[in-house]
Amino acid sequence: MFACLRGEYPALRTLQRKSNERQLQEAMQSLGPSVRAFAPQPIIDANLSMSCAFAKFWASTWNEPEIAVPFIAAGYGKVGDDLLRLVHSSDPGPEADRELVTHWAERLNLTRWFKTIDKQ
Amino acid sequence: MSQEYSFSLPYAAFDLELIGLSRADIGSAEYSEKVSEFFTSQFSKFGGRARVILNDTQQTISVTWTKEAAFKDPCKRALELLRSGKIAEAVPLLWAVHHEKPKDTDILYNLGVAHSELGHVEKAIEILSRLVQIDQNHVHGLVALGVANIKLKDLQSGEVFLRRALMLEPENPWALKNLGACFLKQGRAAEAVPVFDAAIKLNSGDIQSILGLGQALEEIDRGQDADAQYQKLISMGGPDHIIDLAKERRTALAHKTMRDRGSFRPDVMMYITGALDKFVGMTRSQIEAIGFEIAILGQRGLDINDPEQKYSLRTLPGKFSGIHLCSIMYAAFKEFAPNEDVGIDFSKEYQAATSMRPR
Repeated sequence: MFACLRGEYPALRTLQRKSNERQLQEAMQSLGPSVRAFAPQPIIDANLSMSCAFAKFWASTWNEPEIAVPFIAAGYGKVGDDLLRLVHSSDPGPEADRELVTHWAERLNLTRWFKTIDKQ
Repeated sequence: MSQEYSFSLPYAAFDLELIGLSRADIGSAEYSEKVSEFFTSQFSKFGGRARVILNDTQQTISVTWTKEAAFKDPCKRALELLRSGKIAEAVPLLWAVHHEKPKDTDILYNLGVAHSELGHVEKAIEILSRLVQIDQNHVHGLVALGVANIKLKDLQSGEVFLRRALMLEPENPWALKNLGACFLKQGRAAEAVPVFDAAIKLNSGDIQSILGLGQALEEIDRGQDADAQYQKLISMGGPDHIIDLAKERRTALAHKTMRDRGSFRPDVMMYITGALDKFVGMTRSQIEAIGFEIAILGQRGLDINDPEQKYSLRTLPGKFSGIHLCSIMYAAFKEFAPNEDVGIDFSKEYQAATSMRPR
């Protein structure tokens, strides 16, 4: 979706970048001791793994590898790569979103935390 | 990208596989070095616009980076903090810069002095020793190392480093002042006198050297010269604790001088007699009030060698000389706290005065 927005609406790129930069900075705050002090480790791990995938995506897109360094330094580099691979190997259309979510949940051991239901 | 990014990571959360260390290494010097190297290489293209700080106290790694040209250089920021007295805040920044430039002698010097100021004297000595190994002629480093050794009570090593600094720069006032203090602490007052003298010639406003000179002169029985130094210091003004010390020394010197002049002071006996007469109609608390008022006045310095009646009391009418007040105080304390040491010995005069009184 990010790539789609960026590719099809170049006029929005600056706005999109600002928004992503802000999100990345917020995600980096989760690495710190204050968040670790109150959040359970499985939630921290899942959250930072997804943040790492997000950071790696933009690091590659903007050619600014340093953006992913905080998450790599914290040990989430490999899982970030795995999650990105799942994105690249899935169908880019919105109809594949559910499948992608399920694959990410499997990789992050979150499958017991939710279930998908058919649209009523 | 114009945004400034920052994050912090607990030491224990860093991925040790990236630097080939184990959990047992966390917090070690090797850990700090390798973590710094990792981030330095990752952010090398940002130069001075990236900052990596390892805070051993909080066990946290903090990283900040930006493409903004106006981003403050960490070294400049550390120096700003040092100048504003925020030494504890400057130390992690200085360490960060040191990890990037381990042989930068200015950084080593500031780091060593900062640790010394914070009371981490052994750490300061370790850092400053590294500095003088890199640059044997670093005068400020040698002086700081000398001072740190003196703080650690290793006076001989302190002297060695200060002498080395003075060999390179004979007119370094900081080295002279500290060498003088080092001599004093070793009981070598005669050697301290010319050193303090030299320091004061270079910086006439150096109140610590003036105080040191006064103390050294006192110790070699040049009481009058010492008193002149204390007087000079008091007239110059300065931090309260130094001025108070000078006043205390003046009072002590005056007492000593007075005692040395003769074994018995008839004037003191007369003053004590007068005081005892006055006390007859007074309550104990009135006598206490007089005694304490003079004692407090005495802490600010009473000139007992000057016969001029220049002091007055709230608790007793009239004008008094310094020696007169001391006599009244001695007599007063004998009334309500006879075993208290009031800092001056008028026992002979007191005994004579009381023996003449009707029983």
